[in-house]
Amino acid sequence: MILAVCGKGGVGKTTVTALTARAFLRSSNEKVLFIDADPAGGLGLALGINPKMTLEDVRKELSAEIKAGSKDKVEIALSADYLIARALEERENLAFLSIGRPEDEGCYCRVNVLLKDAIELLAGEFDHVIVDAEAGIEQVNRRVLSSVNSLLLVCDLSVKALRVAETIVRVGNRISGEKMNKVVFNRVTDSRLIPDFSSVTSLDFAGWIPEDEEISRFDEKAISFFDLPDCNASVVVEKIVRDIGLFS
Amino acid sequence: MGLFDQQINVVKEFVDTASGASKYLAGSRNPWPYGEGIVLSEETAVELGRPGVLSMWSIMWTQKEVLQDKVTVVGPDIKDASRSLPLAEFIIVQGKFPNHYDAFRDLRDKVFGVRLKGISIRVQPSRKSIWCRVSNDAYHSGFSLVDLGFAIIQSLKEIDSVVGAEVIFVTSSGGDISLLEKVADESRMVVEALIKMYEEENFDCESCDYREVCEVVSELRAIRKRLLKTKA
Repeated sequence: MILAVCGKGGVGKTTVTALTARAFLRSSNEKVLFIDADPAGGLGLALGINPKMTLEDVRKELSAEIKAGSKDKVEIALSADYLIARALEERENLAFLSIGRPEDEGCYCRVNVLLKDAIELLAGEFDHVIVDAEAGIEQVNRRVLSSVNSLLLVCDLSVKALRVAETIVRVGNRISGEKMNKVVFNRVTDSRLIPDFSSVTSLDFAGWIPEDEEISRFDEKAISFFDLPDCNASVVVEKIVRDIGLFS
Repeated sequence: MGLFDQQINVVKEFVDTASGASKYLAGSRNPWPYGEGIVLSEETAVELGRPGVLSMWSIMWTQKEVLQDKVTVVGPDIKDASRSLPLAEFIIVQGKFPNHYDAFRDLRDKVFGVRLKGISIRVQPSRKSIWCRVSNDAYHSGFSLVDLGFAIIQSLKEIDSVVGAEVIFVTSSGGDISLLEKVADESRMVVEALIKMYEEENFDCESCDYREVCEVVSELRAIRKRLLKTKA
């Protein structure tokens, strides 16, 4: 499965992705690649990973190769493969890749193109690829996530978050075909506030994650979620991950 | 004169004089199974040429040398290896190659099309770097560099014009591999000059970065002459 964790800004995509990584590390032997596709970063911090090399660094090195005269496409592809592998940070059965932070606006496009290629290149080598996407619809709209076949849409209880999720699904389906899509509500303080799902949206409901003080504490203190003891939120995320078919 | 005559002679001399060189002819081992998938660090038994450790890779071809299908390992093989080793891989191919540029691309694609179970290999051609991971499973199943060498040879011989090939692995020490650095650099320059002529169709020798290479390798000058005629 190539899954993108998407949603409006601030709904907790990175937290959900980090909890998913934790679940895989503890409960699965499958090889999973986690990609932090948000230039603002956050997944590395949540997992206690400080990458020595990012996709932006890979892009710069490839550009330097091309400027130095390398024009053979196959050689550039081989170099990209080598450099991307070098940029992976590994923890047992997991690997982590960060998009990095481009220096200017033009670079965002170029590194997103490389991100698209990286997902396609690496997907065949891992059992799953999970992308912590940038907030909103941009990466879906720009076909960066065109090889993604599943969406996990993270929402808070606002109508706006649900509408953004619907837009992401609609745009994603239009650009690269129908995908599995599942919505999770995050940081729920009162389950009675969760709407009657089928009456407000045509999307599929996967579950809801409770607000959890332990998560907030780890988040605030930037403690790796790999060290998080079992808590309400982590147990729920692991169940959701199983239910949507990520754990085989 | 072929493109790589000098470099092939240097590599052969190195192999002939190296201590601890083990040579294997085709048929000495069963083929290693095909397999895809990355080998992560946690499951790696032996890592050769990882970033930061010396590695080099080169492919050369010849129309005149007669080659047996042979793999040579200079230094420890996988079963005797420590966790991390330097690695040099030199591939010499014998055949009929009317077009050197096509030969380069076809041979390279065959080499890097090899996928072995429990083995991850990546290269950065511009830096001649090669990086190989052998998984615990492959290690315990007896994987050897000889298996990789013969898989490469078998892949190359899918090209009709290939008659024979030799693959040389050097894992003995960074010092030994450094002795071959000049050869790897020179063969890489020949390949880059070839790519430049065919891809850019630029035949202006005055401004060319590979002028010195062509001055030494007469076959490159001959290729340039043929391409100029075709262009005219």
